[in-house]
Amino acid sequence: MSLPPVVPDPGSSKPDSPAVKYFPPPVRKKLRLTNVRIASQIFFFSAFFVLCWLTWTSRLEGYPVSRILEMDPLVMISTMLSTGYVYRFLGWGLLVLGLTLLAGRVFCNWICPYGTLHQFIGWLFNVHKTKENFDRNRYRDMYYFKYAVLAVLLIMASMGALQIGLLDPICLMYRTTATVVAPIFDMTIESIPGMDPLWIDNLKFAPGVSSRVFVGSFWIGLFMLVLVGANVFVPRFFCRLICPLGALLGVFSRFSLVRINRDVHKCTDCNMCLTRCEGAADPHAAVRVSECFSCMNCIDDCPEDALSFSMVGLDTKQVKLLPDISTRRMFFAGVVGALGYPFLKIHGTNTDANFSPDLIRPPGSVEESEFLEKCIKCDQCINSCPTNVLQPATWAEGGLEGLWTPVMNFNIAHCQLKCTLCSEVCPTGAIRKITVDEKLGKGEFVEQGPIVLGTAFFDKGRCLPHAMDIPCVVCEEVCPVSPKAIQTHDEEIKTVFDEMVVLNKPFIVPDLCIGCGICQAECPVRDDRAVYVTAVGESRSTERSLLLKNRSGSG
Amino acid sequence: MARRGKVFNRLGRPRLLRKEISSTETVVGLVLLLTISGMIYWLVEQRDNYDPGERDIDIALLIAQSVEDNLYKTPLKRWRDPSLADVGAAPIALGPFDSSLLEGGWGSVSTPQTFEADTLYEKINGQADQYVKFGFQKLTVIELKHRGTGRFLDVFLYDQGTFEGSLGVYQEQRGGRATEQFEGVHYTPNAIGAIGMSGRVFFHIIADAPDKSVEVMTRRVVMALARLGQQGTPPTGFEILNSGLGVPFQQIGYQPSNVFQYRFAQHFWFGELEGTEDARIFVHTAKSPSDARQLYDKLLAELLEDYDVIESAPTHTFLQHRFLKTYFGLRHEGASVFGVEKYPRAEGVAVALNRLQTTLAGDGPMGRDDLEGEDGYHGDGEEGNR
Amino acid sequence: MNESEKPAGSQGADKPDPAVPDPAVPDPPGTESSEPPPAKPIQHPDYEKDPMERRKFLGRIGAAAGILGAAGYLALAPKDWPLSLRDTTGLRSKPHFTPVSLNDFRVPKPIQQTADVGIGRGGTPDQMLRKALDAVGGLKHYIQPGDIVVVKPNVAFDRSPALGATSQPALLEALINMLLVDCRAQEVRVCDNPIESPADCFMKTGIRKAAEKAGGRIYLPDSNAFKLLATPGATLIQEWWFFHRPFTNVDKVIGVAPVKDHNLCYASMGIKNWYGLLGGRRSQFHQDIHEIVSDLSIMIRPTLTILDGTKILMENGPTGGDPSNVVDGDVVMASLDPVAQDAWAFEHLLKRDPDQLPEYLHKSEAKGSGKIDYRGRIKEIL
Repeated sequence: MSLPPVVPDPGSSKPDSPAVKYFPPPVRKKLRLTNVRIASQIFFFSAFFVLCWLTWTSRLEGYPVSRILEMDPLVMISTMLSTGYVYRFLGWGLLVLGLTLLAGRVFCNWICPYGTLHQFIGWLFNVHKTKENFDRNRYRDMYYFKYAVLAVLLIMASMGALQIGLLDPICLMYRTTATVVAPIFDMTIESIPGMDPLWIDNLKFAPGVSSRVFVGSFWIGLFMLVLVGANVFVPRFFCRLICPLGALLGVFSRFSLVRINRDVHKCTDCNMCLTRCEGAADPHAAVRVSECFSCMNCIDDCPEDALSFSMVGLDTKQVKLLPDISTRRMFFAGVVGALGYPFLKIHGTNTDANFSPDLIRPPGSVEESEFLEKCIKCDQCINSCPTNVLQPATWAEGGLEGLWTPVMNFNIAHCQLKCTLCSEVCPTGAIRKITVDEKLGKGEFVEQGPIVLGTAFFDKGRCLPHAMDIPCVVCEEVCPVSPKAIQTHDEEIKTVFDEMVVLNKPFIVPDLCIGCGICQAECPVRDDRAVYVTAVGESRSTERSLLLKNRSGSG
Repeated sequence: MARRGKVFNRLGRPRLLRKEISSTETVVGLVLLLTISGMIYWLVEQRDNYDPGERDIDIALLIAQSVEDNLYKTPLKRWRDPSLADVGAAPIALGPFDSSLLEGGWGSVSTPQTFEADTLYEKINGQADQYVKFGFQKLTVIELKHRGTGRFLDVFLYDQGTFEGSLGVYQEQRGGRATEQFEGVHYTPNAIGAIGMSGRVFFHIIADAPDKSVEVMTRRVVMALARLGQQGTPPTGFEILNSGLGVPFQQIGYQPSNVFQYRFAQHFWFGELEGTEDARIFVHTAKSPSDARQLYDKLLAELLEDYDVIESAPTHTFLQHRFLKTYFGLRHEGASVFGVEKYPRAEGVAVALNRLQTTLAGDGPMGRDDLEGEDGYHGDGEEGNR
Repeated sequence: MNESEKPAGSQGADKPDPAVPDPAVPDPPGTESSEPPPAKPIQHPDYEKDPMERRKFLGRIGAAAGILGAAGYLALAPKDWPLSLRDTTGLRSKPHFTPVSLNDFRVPKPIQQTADVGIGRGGTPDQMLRKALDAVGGLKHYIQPGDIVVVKPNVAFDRSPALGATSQPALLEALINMLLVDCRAQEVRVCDNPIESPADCFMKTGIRKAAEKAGGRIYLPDSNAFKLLATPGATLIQEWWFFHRPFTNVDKVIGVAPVKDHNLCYASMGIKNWYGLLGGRRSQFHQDIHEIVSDLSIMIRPTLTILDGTKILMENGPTGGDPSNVVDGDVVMASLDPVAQDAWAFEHLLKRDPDQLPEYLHKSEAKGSGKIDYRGRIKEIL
């Protein structure tokens, strides 16, 4: 957008500088920080969706599809607190952490796709007058709340209950994309009439799957919608008020070398810098470094050139370095955090003695209590799942603590035998990276045997051959292990019509069953399946196992 | 307040108010843009940064660690009436047989089930009648299983009460197939077992599939039946026809009731005469000569309804059917009533009756060939005879 | 509250008639005015009744009658009248799918040729395929330049090709090459609707790579890719959901099937391969497997059926999974008569007793899809 001619051309202040030769004013205008910031935001926002789109069995190749999660320092720090270790690529969090230490909360307004989304929505629907925007962008006392959120989440994490995923912006973004945005997009693409089929398969997030559904995704979508919609009332509502990652970076930004500096001598207190201040960082007064998103808007909006993003030291008194949260509030946050852990644990819906039979974790998942220490509910595994079997857990399966963690719903689909993608994309190791060899217990994993997700059972009262003398055995046909874990007794039967028929009555060989659930998924008894898989017998846990290993007679 | 009615903002960038953009900022901006380009390049480069081997399983590995899957191959489980659940594992459950039957890998599956006349339908539902009408008394079912091949083999022993009864069932079920004989046990083998009779017992051996072991076992059951010695002595009527006249086993029939469609005529033995369409000789042994006389008179009286008398004597009568023109010879001698029916030629009737007479009188066995040979009436010779 | 009850004070809500502008009239009450509102009479003194002209009146009546009449017609006219929306039983609004039908894709064989089943033995898959096709008259006879061809491999499971549960990629690649290069087909579409994840199956079986390398286009199923297909004469699938998208405007259809053991119908070969195009609740068909397979044989009349006897899954089918179940063969078959072809393969490739042919072959024969007795109709090229 060209500028009105009345404004003196920026960058023309030092016409004799040698740099002017290389950077004429129009170039300077184009390359100013706000423009570069928008470029960066577009890049990371697109990269986010491209990476989500790449998270598919036919496209994945070697792309680091979870890298934005792995760069999230909150993920790194909280999982380190809960488990004591840093998994695989989580060290990438140091990159953002380092950036924050050097340049403040640059992440929030340059990288974070969720921040970009909020900023865009807030900008798009901002029909307020400039003066109204001054008030909307002033710091408000309630913005301390995010630090309380961070404190609660980190204290809980350090005790072993990882709940950052509920509110971490990157997790939120991945989760919503996987379970809401992608299926809606695919649904739309599929139903465009006259679309070239090649484009359908190329555009869809999940080509080859018919109508992906995600149980309870309504709440995930609504959660997102409310948070994004709140921008209409409070600009960057989530970022300013809730975001625990922003809070974490706010704390670290205290040490940043560069920040917004206001030259009080030039400043005329016109408040124009508040027009578009994203972080409500009070650039018109003492800048709140912990709140500033480094969006650089205030620099563009200062008619006096009093603001600059520059090295610390010019004016240390004119800044507020630390978050504005009182000791009293910190104390209460601490209490909530310290109580949060036992509250979650004694809720007792996901213990080794009392767990849902539907709590079937994807292959490679670590033992449940450890899983809960690692899973950040980003649902990137769900995004990668080629069959739609992985679902965000509802309270019924995961309990309070396991909400939106991945579980397998075999009514919807099955776990693909030679697929380990969920384990590859998991950023935290809740689903440990495994190979197909390990999943199937081949090669060097022969001793250990295949990874067992659960055990199949027959409801003989509903099974067609068992209960109604009608041939079926779809389950035997689809059982993918070799030798088959569902085999048949061939039996001669007199039907109610006195006809003799030979039926293949299926039975389970529990030692061979890996709980992939394809029998349940394909069972023609559609509502309450005649063959179904429950979590018991899963190989990741000794507490939830079923068969005694190496017992006599187990072959 | 915000402007009502507007949905979007002006969708433009606000006016740039700053005046100065330093060279440092421009350079930093440039560096940052280059960094972003670098990141795009890096991302694209990551495409091949993975090990495809981790996402699939090596076929060579599968071959090396191949698993034999001959587990759990169960044989067909035969239907068994649920109301007749297994009684439990009796040590040896072979009914009348002894354990020597079980050589060669066979074992008994359950205690033999037995059925009386009024419970027979539980086992063989609709077919019960064909046994009951021949005087069925008891059915014993012995189930055997071969441990090696997994074959099942059931032996059904129908105690028909009398030789006549079991023969009647046998002849009916045999349906004209050839018989074999082993020490008085007559049987007709097929691919999965056999049917046959031994004295008053009609037996039925059936396996679930054809097999060498089944064949062997069928033969062994027949031998075991022979060993049991239940063949007994055949009744007089049978003996007359079989050993007396040389009518082969498979051509002898027995009709317990309703002979010639007369309710009073019962327990007749029939022997088919070869070379004729359906001529038969018949013998009935009554309890006493007077009974025999009574039967003779009754039969004659009824027969005269359809036949014309050709020759009449006190103890025999030759008749010719009014329409069919076949001949009927009837005679009684002592306690016996015998004769020939549906004979095509008048001359042979007398001869046939004489032969029967001679046999009954105990003049020693006489081949049927003699009987027919002496007739001399068969112009077609051998072919006509057989 | 009706008009007559309206208190005087509420008159401000009544808008002054804009048709009679009068500058002398003070601001209507309700607009901002510094003076206190004067005591108002019940009726404004300047209120002037605006008599409705007859023309206007009739116009309005007419419009009302028109709208009501049209709406009444739409809602109440008997349903066989044009444009009627009436639904007396509630059944008219039931979604109705018009079934589509498929063309007969068969092409008559060359006049001088007698064989219905061609068998090619020995060499690379490409060579075997060429021999087999030559035995039935050559592929060029069947495919015209510019044809759109659907090739239906069996991609039912995410198995390595060496496990014999799916079609061999090498053979598929050879076939697509021949179609595109030798026969100059306009487009080759490769499609299947596997039980397991389609994207995964196409990838792990190597079919995707082979097809794309040779220039074929993969069609993956999704919920809008299916149409109701009418199959006259079928018992179970007179109308059934069918993976129809790749069959839009298609000229020729070729099946490429592996030879496999099958747990329920004993053998899965050329005819059973078409099962992969069914959608809907197809797992029910196991309740009458032989009937459905014979129905498949009349559902689609392919130009050619190619049987891939290079890896034969002898047992543990149809999934397989262990190399010990697989036997290497050196046969590729191409056939105009899928029944005869399956019968031959059952006997010679799966090495089963020809007296125990799967029942579906007899049923297919009865439905007129071909003849089991292949004698005299086979040509073998070594």
